[in-house]
Formats: sequence, C-alpha cells, structure tokens
Amino acid sequence: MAAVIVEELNRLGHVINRHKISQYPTTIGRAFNNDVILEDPYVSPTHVTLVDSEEGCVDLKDNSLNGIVYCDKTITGSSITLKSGEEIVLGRTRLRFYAVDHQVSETRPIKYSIGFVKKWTQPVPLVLCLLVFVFMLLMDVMLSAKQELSFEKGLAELLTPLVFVVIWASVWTFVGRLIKHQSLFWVHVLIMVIFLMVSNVSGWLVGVLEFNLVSEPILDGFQICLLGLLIIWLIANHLRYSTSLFKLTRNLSASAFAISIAGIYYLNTMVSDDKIQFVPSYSTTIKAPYAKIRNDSNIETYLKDIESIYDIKLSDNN
Amino acid sequence: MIIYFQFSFLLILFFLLLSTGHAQTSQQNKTYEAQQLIDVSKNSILQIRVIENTTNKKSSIGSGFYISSNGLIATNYHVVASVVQAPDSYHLEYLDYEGNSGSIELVDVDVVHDLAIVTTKNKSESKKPLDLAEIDAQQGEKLFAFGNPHDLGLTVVEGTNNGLLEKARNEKIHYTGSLNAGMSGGPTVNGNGEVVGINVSTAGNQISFLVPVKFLSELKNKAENEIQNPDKNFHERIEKQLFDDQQEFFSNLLKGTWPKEKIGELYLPAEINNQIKCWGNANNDEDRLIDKSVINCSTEDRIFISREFSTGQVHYSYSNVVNRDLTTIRFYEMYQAGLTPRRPRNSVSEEDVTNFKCHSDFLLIIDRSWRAHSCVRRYKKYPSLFDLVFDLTMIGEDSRGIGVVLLVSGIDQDMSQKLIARFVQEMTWQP
Repeated sequence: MAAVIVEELNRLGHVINRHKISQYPTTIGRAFNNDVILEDPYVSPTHVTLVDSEEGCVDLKDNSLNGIVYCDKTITGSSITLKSGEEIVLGRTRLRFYAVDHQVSETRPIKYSIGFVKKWTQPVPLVLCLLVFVFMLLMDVMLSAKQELSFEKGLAELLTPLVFVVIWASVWTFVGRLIKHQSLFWVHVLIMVIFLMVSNVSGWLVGVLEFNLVSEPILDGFQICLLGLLIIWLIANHLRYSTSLFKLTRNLSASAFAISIAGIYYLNTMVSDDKIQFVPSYSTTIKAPYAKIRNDSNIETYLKDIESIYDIKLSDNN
Repeated sequence: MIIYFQFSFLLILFFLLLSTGHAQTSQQNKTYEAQQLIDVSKNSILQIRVIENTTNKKSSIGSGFYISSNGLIATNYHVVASVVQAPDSYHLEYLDYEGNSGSIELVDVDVVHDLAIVTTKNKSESKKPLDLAEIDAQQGEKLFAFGNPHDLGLTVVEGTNNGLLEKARNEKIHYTGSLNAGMSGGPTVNGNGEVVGINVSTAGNQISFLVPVKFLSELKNKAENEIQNPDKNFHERIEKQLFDDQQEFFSNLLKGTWPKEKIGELYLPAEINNQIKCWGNANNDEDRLIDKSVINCSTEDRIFISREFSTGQVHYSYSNVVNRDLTTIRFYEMYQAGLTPRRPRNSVSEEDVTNFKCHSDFLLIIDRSWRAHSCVRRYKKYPSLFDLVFDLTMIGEDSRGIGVVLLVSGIDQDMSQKLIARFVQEMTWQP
C-alpha cells in the first residue's frame, strides 16, 4: 500500500497545506468525519474517496454534487486514476498528488544571509535605523522650513513621512499574507525607511552638485526608477515560491504592475490637464550657492537661442 | 432816516427780484439747449443690436449714429465684436428713434481706438448724418452724450470735457458725465450739435471716456473706399492694426531714456513712459523671517478684441528678498517658495492663443548669475503677434535675491527681443 502526499494549493500555486495518506480508503470532504477536511463551501461533505492504485499513484472516486475537475474536464460520479504530480480541483480547492518516492527539485543555494534580515529586524537595530531616519527628517525640516520653527510644526512635518511608512508597510504585509500566507511588518518598514533615506541623501547630494538644467529631472527620474524597481522587486519576491508561474511570468507580471501604475498616473495627468496651458510651465527651482552654477550665457547668445520659441505651428494640437 | 431805509429796502428788493428772474432764465436756457439737440439729432442716432442666430434674440446692445448720407453708421468695435469674431453665429440690426428696425452689416473696424463702421443694407432707410467736428473740444466745454442706456430708449447725458487723458496708450477724452452700458458707440456732441467724441467706456462716479472724433474721421475715409470694394477679411485688417500699433508703441518706448528705480543695490527701469504707473509694497510683519519688497509697473489700457480676449498690456515687476537670520539653505527655500511661473495680464481663451513655448538658461548680467526663462505664445488669428513672459531670478548670493518679470501682450518677435535686450542693458549694480 503506497503512501501518497496530498498538497493543498492556492491560486498562485503556493502550497498552503500538506497531508500524508498511508491508509485506504481515505475520504476528502467538508464534513468533520473525513480524513482530510477542506474549508470550501463548494466541496461536498464527502467529496472524494481515495483508494490504492495498481497502475498510477492513487485512484479517486467522486461522490459529490459539483464533481471534480481533472485535465479541464468535470467528472461526476465516476473514478479516475491519478499519476504522481497531477492536479484536480474540488469546488474551489486545488489538490496535487505526489507518490512518496516522487523526485523533488534540486536544492536552491541561498544567495544572501537570512540572518542579515533577521538581524536588522530585531528591536535594537530596527530602532537605531528608525532613529537615524527621524534624525534625517529633522535635519531636512530644520534646513528647509519655510516658516518659523516650532515643536508643533516640526512634529507635523515629521508625521507625514512616518505615517506614509506605516501605511506602506501595512499594505505590503497584507499583500504578503494573501499571497504567501506570511509576511513581516517590520521588514517592510525597514525597506521603506531605507528607500526614503536613499531618496533624501540623493536630494541633498543634488543640492551641492553643479546647478544646471538637467540635475532636477535626473533626480526626479532617479527617484521614480528607484520606486519602480522597489515595487517590481517586492512583487517578484512575493511570487517567488509560486509553483504555478514561470520565472519569466513572475518578473513580467511584476514589471507590468509597476509600469501600469506609471501609465495610470501619466494618463490621469493628460486627462486632467487643460488643452491650453494659460500659465507657462517652467521650473522655478533654484539652489543655494553651495552648488557651482553651470557656465552662464551672455545676452547676445541667449537672444539667439530663444529665436526658436517663436516658431510655433498653428495646428490642431496647439 | 426813514426815507433812507425805505429806499435801501426797495433797492435790495429790486436786486433780489432781478437775480431770481435771471436764474429762471438761465434754467430755461439750459433745458432748451439739450432739448434742441435732441430734436436735431434724435433721428440720426440708433440702437445697435447684436442678434444671436439660433435664438434670434438680442445678445448685446449699443448705440450708433449716421455719419454719411449713403448710410454709414459709426459705433464702437466692442459693440460689434461678436459679429467680427463669430460671423456665423451673430448678425447686426438697428432700431431707430421712430421704432423702425433693419439689417446692418460691417464695413470697417479700428480695434486700437475701439471704433467700427457699419451700414444699412437698404440705403433708403438712411437718415440725416451728424456732422463731425473739425476742431477739438475745449477743456471745460459743455458736451452732450447720446445713447441707449440699458435698453431704455434715447437718452442724453450732459457733462464737461476735461481734456485728453495724459497717461493713456491711445488718446481718449476725459468726460465728466455718467455714461451707462448701452451708450457705447453713441455720439457726444458740442453745443452746435457736432460730434466731438464717441462714447467708449466709463469708470463710474461720473468718470467716462470718449474716443476723439479725429479717429472716426480717419476710419470714415477708409470706409468710403471699403464700401466700394468690400473685403470681408476683418482678421487681416485687425492683425495689421495691432501690429502697426505695437510697432509704434514699442519703437517710441525704446527710443526714450528710461528713468531708474533702486531695488536693493540694483538699478532697474522705473516708469519708462508716461503711460506706465508703478506701485510698491513690502512685508512689515514683526516676526518676518526675510525682508521682501515688491514693485509693480504696468500700463492701464488694454485693446479689446472680444469678450474673452484682450491685448496691448505691458507689466513688469521686481521683487527684492533679503535674509534676516536664516541659514543659507533655509533662505533659499523661502526665496524659491515665492517663485511661481507667471502669465501675461490679458484675458485669453483656447480659441485665441497657442500653448506657451519656453526656453530656460543661465545668464550672466552685471557680473551676477541669473536663471532666465523666456516663454511666448502665438495668437491663432493674428500669427505675427505673441504674448511674452521673461522671468529672471538672481542666484549665487548668500543672503539676497532679486526677481525681475516682464509680461507683455501683443508684441511681435523682433520688438520682443529688442525689449528684452534693452531691459537687460538698463540693469546696473551700485553697492
């Protein structure tokens, strides 16, 4: 009598439960007197009965109202023989069957130290990281406040990024629990704190680099790319252990998600902007004199350069 | 003694009676003048109606008057602007003193002086024209303005000529009389019934303005030719008028010497001609973190093209910010917070102008670095003209900043570049 492993899978192919069946007959259903109990309202009280098979891994007999889906066909009231690695669907529940001697995939080498993540999400290093982050925010507030500094105003300025970090971590923790059934809130806090610190430092650096006409759009582009890469990495990481999706599918899905957010933002900008801009759009950003100013033009050269702006075509788009 | 007092009493009584009699006669004379003018002029003055084609109802009204025996009628451009800008949506009609109405059509326009000449389609409806004065009205002279205020019928408003406005881009007569909406385009006549001005606008409180009749005479001469060879392309004519007007205005501006104003250590152009007025402001709060002062200079006139579109305005402003007790980074954050992209002062709509096209760069002016932005947008119907934004921000100084903004509506490319060059040339630094 060969034992068989029954895996319960979610939609993305993540294994959420495993049962080892050594005795036959074994029943699977929603009723509490089954050997394997499923929490699915579309599963009948005694949905299938497993018996030992001579040809395949296991034989199944269907006893249900909704039947079982096997190889995209619904079977009701009859028996099927499953080979090792094949799947069926009972109600909304996916089950996969393996013989105990089924060959497992090769062990994957760990490319990073799991200890690193665990170390930094311990209370002491996490609090230190948060303190550094708060200090950076305070420095930012003190250096750039446009009004009289006071405790209340400083607190208000600090609260916005901190609340953003909490909301971000909460959302990704929820997504992680949905997809992988596990996720750590403090890991996501750490990720966003590091992202904001990198963003802040890059903003300060640009403030002292040469003041020219491209440093601001480069900084904006850098921050957007960084955020995009972060989202792609988070999604791909959540899907990493999915057995239903190929690696290429996972990476493309993650990239498509990040790009679609950018696309929605851009579309919204296009739709909400007036056809005609009654106020010209030019950047009014200036830098403190720590940054070297790019070489200046003289008025003669400038007047020559601006000749091109008078060449405005009278078309439908204008 | 008694006889002396009786004689004195009789003498006083005699003079009292005499003065009362004289006052009554004067009152009677004043009323008679206006009445006589109404009787003489009423048949020559019309209500001009702009009719919307879909509803066939009045969209707006104004006044007009006959200026020739072949049916030419004078009015304001702004009364008939809807027909010029949207000829498929509106048409013109008149209503005369006797209640007769009929169709009229546009002959010629002068947008710069806000005049228009129309004509009756049926020449037999034409009435006796009013005479146009050949000599300017004298300051202090009594005048009579005619029109149809608020659709109430023909009305006369007596007032005084206070001479030409000194600080207007285009000549206007300052008239002390209460002109009202609906009287635009009506005639203002002297005691002889000759037209000395055309009602054009009011600022309320008995301050009103007239277009001097000499501009109407010039337009009438052109219209006499136009009526023989009608050319209905009003947009081309308007473009030429606007182009020539701005050429003349800016050429005169650039020829003159520009007085300077001190902003911090910088000397900048002040009231560069008598049509530009400057006003100043500063922040004086005790708890201010930076000192900021602003000077705004602008012309007051504008040229009306349509209800949504005007042009012909010049505005420039300076702002000076000085650090009181902040770090340099904080000072620059506050300096930057006060900077926003600027737009010209004229009203425009989507149908009138294109989007702005801009060029930004760093300029070296008087040994200091400036961030410079130049933006223009083109007029769709008058493509030789642009609106200009020229924005300079001084950078590189630890504790102070200066902003210079020049906003011009209705200028051609060549003039705008000369204006920018002159502005920059006039900037001097004197610590």
